[in-house]
Amino acid sequence: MKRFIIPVLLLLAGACTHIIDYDFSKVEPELMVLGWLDQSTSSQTVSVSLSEGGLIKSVDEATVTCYVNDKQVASVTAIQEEKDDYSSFSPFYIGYSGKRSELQLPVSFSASLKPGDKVRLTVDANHGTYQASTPEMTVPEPVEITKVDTDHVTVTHLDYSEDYLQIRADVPDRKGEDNWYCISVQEVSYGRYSFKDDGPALFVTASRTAYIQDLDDPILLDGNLSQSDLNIFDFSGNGEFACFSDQLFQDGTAHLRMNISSWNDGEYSFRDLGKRFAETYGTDILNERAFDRVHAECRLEIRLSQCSQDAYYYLRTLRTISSDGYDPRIVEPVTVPSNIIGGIGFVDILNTTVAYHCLPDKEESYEEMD
Amino acid sequence: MKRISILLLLFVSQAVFSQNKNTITVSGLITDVASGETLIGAGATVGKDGAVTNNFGFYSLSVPRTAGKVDITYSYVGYTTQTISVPAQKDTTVNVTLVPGASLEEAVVTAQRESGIDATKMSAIEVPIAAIKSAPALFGEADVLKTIQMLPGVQGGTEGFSGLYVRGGGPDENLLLLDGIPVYNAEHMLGIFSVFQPEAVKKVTLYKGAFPARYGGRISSILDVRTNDGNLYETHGSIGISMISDKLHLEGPIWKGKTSYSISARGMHSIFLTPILKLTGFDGNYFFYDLDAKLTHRFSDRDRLYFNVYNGLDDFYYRYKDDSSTFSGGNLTENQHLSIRWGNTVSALRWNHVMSPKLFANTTVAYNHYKMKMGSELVSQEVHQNGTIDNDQYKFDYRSGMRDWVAKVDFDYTPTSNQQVKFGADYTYHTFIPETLSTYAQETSGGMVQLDTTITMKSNGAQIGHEVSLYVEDDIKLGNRLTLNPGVHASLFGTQGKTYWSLEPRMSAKLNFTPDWAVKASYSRMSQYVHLLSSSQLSLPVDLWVPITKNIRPETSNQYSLGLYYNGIPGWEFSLEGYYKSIDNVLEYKEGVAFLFDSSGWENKVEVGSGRAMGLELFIEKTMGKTTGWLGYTLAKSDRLFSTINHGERFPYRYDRRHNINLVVNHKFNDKFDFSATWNYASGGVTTLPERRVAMISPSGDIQYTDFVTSRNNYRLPSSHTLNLGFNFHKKHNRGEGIWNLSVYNAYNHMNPSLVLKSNNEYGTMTSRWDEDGTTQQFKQVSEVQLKKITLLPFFPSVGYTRTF
Repeated sequence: MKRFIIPVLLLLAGACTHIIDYDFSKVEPELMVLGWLDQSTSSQTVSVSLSEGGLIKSVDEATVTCYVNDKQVASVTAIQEEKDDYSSFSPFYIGYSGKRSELQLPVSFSASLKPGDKVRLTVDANHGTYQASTPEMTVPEPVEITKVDTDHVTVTHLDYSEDYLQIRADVPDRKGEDNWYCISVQEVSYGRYSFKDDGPALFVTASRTAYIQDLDDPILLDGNLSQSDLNIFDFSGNGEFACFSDQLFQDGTAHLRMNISSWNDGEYSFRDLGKRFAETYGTDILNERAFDRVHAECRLEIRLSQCSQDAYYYLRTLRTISSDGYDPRIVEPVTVPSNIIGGIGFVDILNTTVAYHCLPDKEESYEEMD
Repeated sequence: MKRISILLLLFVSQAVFSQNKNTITVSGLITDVASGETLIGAGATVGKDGAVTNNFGFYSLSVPRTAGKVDITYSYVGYTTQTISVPAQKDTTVNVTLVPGASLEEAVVTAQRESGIDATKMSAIEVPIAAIKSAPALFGEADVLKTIQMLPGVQGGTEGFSGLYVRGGGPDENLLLLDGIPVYNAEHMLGIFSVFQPEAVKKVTLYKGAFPARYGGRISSILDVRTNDGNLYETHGSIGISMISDKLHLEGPIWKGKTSYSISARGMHSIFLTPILKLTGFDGNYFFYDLDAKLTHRFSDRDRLYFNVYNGLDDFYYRYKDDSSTFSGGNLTENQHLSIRWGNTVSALRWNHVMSPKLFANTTVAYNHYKMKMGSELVSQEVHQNGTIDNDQYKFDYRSGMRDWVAKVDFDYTPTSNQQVKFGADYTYHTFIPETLSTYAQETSGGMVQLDTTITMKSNGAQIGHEVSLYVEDDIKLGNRLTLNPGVHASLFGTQGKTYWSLEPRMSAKLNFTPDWAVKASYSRMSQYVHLLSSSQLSLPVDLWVPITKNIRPETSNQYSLGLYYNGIPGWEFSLEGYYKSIDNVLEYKEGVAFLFDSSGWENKVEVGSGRAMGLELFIEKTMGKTTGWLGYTLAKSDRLFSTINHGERFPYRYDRRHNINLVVNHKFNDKFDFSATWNYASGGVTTLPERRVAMISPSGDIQYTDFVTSRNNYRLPSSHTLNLGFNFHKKHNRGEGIWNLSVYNAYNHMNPSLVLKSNNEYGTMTSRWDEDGTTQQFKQVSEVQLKKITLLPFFPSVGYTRTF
């Protein structure tokens, strides 16, 4: 609607457009620090770059110092190895998404964290030109997943039905406190394959982060898809993680029900399989379909993290802007949380518990799956 | 709360059933001598006691029973005061006709009025129709709501538009009543004009707080617009033309002295707009019309029947055609068409019956329908180099609307001259259709159909709501200094198998500590069962009216007001009011959701939160003399709180403006020329703008780039101020007069911000690269980003002509 109405209004007021005193080019550059520290591993990484008004720029070098309980446990300097033509990034190009790009300088360091530890990072970049720090962060207490089960559900859309794998997990709330959680599902597939003519067997592993259907709160949805999944205008509502608070089950147990698309092991497993065969036999036999999968199984890794309230709001915001339907020109404004002192960005700590759940063995041929 | 309400009911009941055998009741209608039009708010007084006519011109006055006669003085603004001696031995009906043309200097004696300093209630303002008609007119079109915007505590939202934002409330929190029936969408031309035609309007009263118990259903204001009944004796009318519309008003008798009609029609003409659109190459058009019609029949002094219909429609369409070459060397032709149509139909049948000299009844059956329909079609044909042809066709049809059937009965009971009781009940059968959407897509390639599908979706289907309300209020004078107006409004709303109820006590008190000085205090609790979901920047016809549901509770407010009043200078009124309003269950779109083109049901897109508003309002009004008008100043603050918006922190409401000054001056030089001027200053509103570009990181390490916004409504727009001038030249004719209106909107051409948009001036190249993981990365250099202030209404002269007969 606005794409028609606003042009009409602009048309009526064509001669009455003025620039007002708000120029992004005058915004001072700030050090941008991003990262999720994890209690479950000692290997930690944060990304460092510069936010300069409408531009994001890379830094030449950055030093990250980690303090745990006011004691320095690590101080690492990373240097930008290469700097290509894309040293700055479009400030308002819509729709870009990808892994850490060359604009982000990853700085890895080692720090073992225990629940209750107070952690703080200081960051300086470009030889002290830019400095920032995180607030003092507390390592969250561990959480538990007491029960995991799955079921196959069929969801009826407007004119078709789709099968989903429904994951059911019980999450007891930590008593006597307000808690916020983040959950994701990793699918790991193991397959054993052999040539049809009794050739050598190969073992292939493939994994991916499952897309949890629907952007909304899993507590509120309780396994039901909201109507945003009707997707008439291609507004996808899926995401690689979901976050929720304990407001509706405080001191009790959340019985989560989340739907993910059924595992499509053909696409992922056979890509890897083809590579393996090519490496072993020097030929790409992927397209010859001359092999059978003789055994396959899938394991779900349900990763539940307790996080701070700030992290909860950050993750909700990230889910919103990650959705396919997000277009800042036509949607309601989104406020982006930042907790970096003297800079911008977000760093927080997750304490992740992983629950494993194996799906039944499957015996099926490649042709059947095609 | 419940105890307070029960106490109020007991108090009122006691008053209702108390009788005084030492008095008689004089009752009747007060009408205009020439037209027979009933006069609303006219006074009938005996000494210090008095009564005022209700919305149907009926008064009931208790006077002491005596052997002789009692002198009753009848008065009304702009009419000659008349004193009539009435025998005071038994109840008597006295219908009075007043003669217009009294000097404006003459004081009007009134009793307990509904508005103004004399009224028990505070925060109610009656806007003179003359002020509306003579006010500077944008496009030559006088507008009721634009005059209302000039009152303290009221804001207009977007510069130059008709939206009402009263005491920190939203546009859906105003109950706009046309002869007592709600009008859901009162705007034309995206809000530049309202649907209320000044020619058809008899009385306009705005309640901002201290709401009478007879009103309910909205939490921020009540705008009660009453229309003309029509001349009972002679046919009169007017024709008019402005830069936007043609107007016709006719009224007269069908059965002289018994039956009258009043018709007002207005339609937009294309004289002005179409050439501009053609000049700019815009292939589209827009028009609107309004039709008000009313029939009144007087069966007797005790019975009257009214039938009125309002119908209005807006229609906009836009066409687009494009021919272009494709990358593959083919040719692509696209034709697109978009249309939006919206409008209201309001119809009511009323029966007035004087049940006794003390008891007046009004029974109403009404129908109300609001609908919006938007449709679009895109037809494209691509001819490839090899001669194959692809044809695509996409259509969508999006509709929203609501329909109400209303039955209500209202009673006015006047047990004594010191007391007036109003009570009644109503039932509304609501049918809400918040949004329905159907789409059609067909794609063919080389004659082969690739896609041919129709999808029809009713997000929520039709939702039925049953609303029942009861009310009673008592305006009672306790001694010479203290008057009270206790009341209670109780309502039920049932929908989706769930019933909500609301008990809303109302209390107003006035204490005159000298004859000239008064202090008033009030408390009002209000509930609202419908919401308007609107986007952040503009009031659009595609904003959705939605009901409460089993999950979304009614919006409620509690408003406390305190005021000081002075009217010691003849012809002047001074008031200073303060208020605090808390709002619960207010709705707002979630962060990041699309307000349209999203198939999500509306319930999935909203958050429920709270709000508060507080402020001080100064109002100085000159009511008599050749120069009339007012000065209003408002100091206000309003904010909202939602658990998941703005990180759960309070943020300013989008129309939070700290200071607002309104000056309205009307001066009548002589019978041939009068002049009006309005000046408004308002602090800037707020909007949400990105401050910089940032990256966000997911727990798995994915990077997402986005605009950085620290908080909702983080940027305060520049203040705005506008001077509007209006000149009216009258020329008498044998029958009626001709009136030229020359108006200048924004006389000193101040560039007020109507819209603020972000603008990117981009240059550079875009590079695509295929990464190992299969994602495409694209880069683009950008030089600068700016904010553009759009002023929709700069200096704008306009002219209009009206010929009355």
